[in-house]
Amino acid sequence: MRQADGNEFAVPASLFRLFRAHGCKNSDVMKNVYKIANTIHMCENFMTVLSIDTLFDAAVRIQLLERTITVAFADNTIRMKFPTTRRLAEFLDVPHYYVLPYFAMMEQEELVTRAERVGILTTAKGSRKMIELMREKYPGESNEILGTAVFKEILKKT
Amino acid sequence: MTDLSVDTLFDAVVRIQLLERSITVSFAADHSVRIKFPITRRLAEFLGIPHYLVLRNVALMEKEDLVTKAEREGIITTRKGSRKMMDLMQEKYQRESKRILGEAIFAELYKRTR
Repeated sequence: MRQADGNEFAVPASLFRLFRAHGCKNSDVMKNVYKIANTIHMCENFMTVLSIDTLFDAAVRIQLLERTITVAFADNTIRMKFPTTRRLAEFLDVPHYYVLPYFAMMEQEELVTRAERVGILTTAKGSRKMIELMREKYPGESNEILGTAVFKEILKKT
Repeated sequence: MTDLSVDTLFDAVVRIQLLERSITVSFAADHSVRIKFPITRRLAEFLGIPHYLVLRNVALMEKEDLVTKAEREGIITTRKGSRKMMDLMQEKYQRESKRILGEAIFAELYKRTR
């Protein structure tokens, strides 16, 4: 059988025997095997799509899409606001619970911090990562929202 | 009990930000900026007044188009509110505000709120 990713795999004869014993035709067996293979393939896609980089990219794209970038200024440091985990899950079209472990990882890597009633903010390291991403991949859109002077100043501060 | 007015509340907001050494600003593509307010309970605690009094005044500020409330975002200033806040920073707390925002950002925010 050819899978969605182009790889071939043999359907075990025992599976046909099992289904036939329950009164199914060979075509029913194949139909169900296809369904299962597709589901597995979709799940595998899910697993490979998300990473810390993907989440940072999504966070930037959400801000650009919503045409708002929120920055917390403190003495000599800046922190950038991350969208909520639910918004990120919705944007990436993945279940909410799937996004959560990546936030734990990002916290562990000191890229973001979470505070009650404040939400998720980048750390100094996270701000650097986010602003670098804006500079490399989305300079035009970021400039448009922040303004040249602010964008330049934020780049300097990170 | 502190005699509360919109000006007192705005002043408290700026002082809390300066005290906590953090000012949160949202930049939008239409060139506007919005400044985040502390939560109402923090304002009540800071001013030593009951929470309901702060809520009443925040409602008044919403009516005067100085702030808006956004879900999960909290209270943020409108264009008019941002201007009022930047004026206050410029007039009364320029040095402290510049120390947190930096000269360039302060100047840019002031310019954008005109």
